Formats: sequence, structure tokens, C-alpha cells
Amino acid sequence: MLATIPNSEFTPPATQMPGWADFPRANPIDVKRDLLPTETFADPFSELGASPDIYVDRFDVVVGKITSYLSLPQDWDGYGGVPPSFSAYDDAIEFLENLPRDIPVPKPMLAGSGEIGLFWEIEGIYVDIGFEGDRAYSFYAEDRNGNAYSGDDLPLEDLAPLSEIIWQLRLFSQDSA
Amino acid sequence: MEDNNVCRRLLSDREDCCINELRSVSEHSPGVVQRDEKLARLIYSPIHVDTETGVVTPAAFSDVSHSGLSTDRTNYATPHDLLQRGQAKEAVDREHGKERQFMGVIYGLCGDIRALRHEGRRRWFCIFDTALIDNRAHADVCQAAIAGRAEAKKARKLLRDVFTRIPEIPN
Repeated sequence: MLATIPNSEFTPPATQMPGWADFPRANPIDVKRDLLPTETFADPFSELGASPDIYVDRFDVVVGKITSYLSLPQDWDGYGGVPPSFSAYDDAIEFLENLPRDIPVPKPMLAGSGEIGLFWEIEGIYVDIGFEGDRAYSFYAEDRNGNAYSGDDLPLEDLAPLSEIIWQLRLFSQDSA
Repeated sequence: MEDNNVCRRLLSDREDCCINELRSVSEHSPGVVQRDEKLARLIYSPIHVDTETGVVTPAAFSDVSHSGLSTDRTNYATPHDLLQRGQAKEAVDREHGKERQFMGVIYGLCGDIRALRHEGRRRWFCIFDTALIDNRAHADVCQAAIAGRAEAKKARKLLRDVFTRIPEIPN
């Protein structure tokens, strides 16, 4: 599952990707599959140890985090939160796999209701997408120009409602490359 | 049978959905929540925090659309009270074999929350003094009856925007 590259074989580019936390050597070489040092993500990759010399694929980190949600106990958030269903997990992963490869990887999150979420918050672009396991997604987004977008009960494969946002995320990626 | 969903019980289906804010809803309460009060939301899970930025995720506010976002009124809960509550829960849950990590507290002003209006008219959120027998400072923030999962996501963004972003350990 992990794409690991020993540091000796990895030459980071000179530029940093703005909008994400800075890491000393985690300069992106591929927008979709940018690499992160494992010391930042000790869990769920704890078997690698907290090492600054091993990089993992951001996409795999996100998938790993979402997978880890399935094993959460009841009341995981201290407010009665429930773990997600397998259906919500499947839907989130399928959606993630269908995203264009030339935009930043979204960040995962989980609501107390068990809804799995993906979000971007980059340079004025805000996107919140949720999956409850009914083969559909809902979202709310705002773009750089202050325009709002939203949709309910959308088929997983239908990215058209997000097209403007995806276009802006793509521009952001190109500007950062 | 009593409805355990606080928001469902307290939100009115009248035009003024927040009318129950005007009266105390708990016998344990020191009084209705005033607009100048600061509310504290305890964060008990690192899952609610973006590990890269330290900022709470939008999903950390999702309870507002369901059972209510539990908060503590800082006028009636000192930083020490909040710290004790967070650490006590952490200790008790760990004793029971649950992983628990008290991440800290984020804050929002009641007036800022109440000022949020849907399309400039109806209130997005109501705040009720739902004090508990062991926590007189307890209050719930409830999303008013605005339908749809997309609207719920807009609601949590609006709420997140008026709260502090990074949990801090009270002292």
C-alpha cells in the first residue's frame, strides 16, 4: 500500500507548495502524489517509525487515515461519536480514486455521525465533501472569488458540480509547481 | 417517551425558531445564555484536528446539525474547570481501555454565533442553557431547521469561522 522512497534516492525540488504545513524536506514533486516525511504521520504508519528519511505518498496517507476510521470505537470523539460504516468507507475511497490526478490530495476528516469527509482549504478555496454510505456525496464549497457551490445526493462519479472548484485547484497546483 | 435530542426538543417550528432562548431550559442553569458570553468547545480526539496545521477540521462542528454542539459557558467554567474536565475524561476513558487524548479547547462568542443569518433573515443557530446536574456551565448550539446535508456543511463552515481554530490547553 505504501509508496516509500529512501531519502537517498529522493531529490526534492527547490520550491515549497504553499497552503500546506511546511516540512523541512517535503517539497512536492508531483501534485497528486506529493510526498511527506513519516515523522509527521507516525499513525497509521507507525511500523515505519518516526523517521525523517522515509517518505510516503500523500494519497496513501489519506487512504490509510480513512481506513483507520473503521476501527474506531463508539464514542471515539467523547461526544458519542460513531465509527463510519463500510459503505461510507467504500464511497469515500471510490470518490478519492476518481479525482483528477493534477489537483492536490484532499485531507480526510470524520464527523461524529460517522460521515466520512474530504476537505480542501487552500488559498481561498474551501471544499467540504461528505459520504454517508448511500452511494452519493454532498458538498459545500467556496471559490477564490467568494462564489458558493453546493450539492446533495450526487452520484459518486459525477464531478460536474465541482468542475469550477476543480479547475481552480488545478490552477493552484500549476502555480505551485 | 422523552426525546433525548436536545435540539429537536428546543428548536421551535415557528418563524422564530430560537424563541426558547428567552427562557431557561434547565433547572440547573444560572440563567439564559447572554450574547456577550464566550463558549468553549472541548476537543477530545486528534481526529478532529488537521495533523499538518493543528487546526480543527470542519467535521469537528458536525454535531451542531444533529444532537447539538455541546459547549461550556466560560462565565461559569474557569480555565481550571475546563482543564480538569478534559483531563478527567481522558483519564476515565483510558482506564476503561479507550484511547482518549484531550487536545484542548476552542472558543466562540455567543453574539457572533447568533448573528449568523440564513439569506439575511432566519437565524442559523440557537444557543440554549442546557445545564447539567454536574455541569451548570453546559450549553448547546443547535442548527436551526434548515434542511439538507449540503446546508449542514455550510452551517459548520460558518460556525468554524467564528470559533478559534487551534485547540489550546486552558490555564
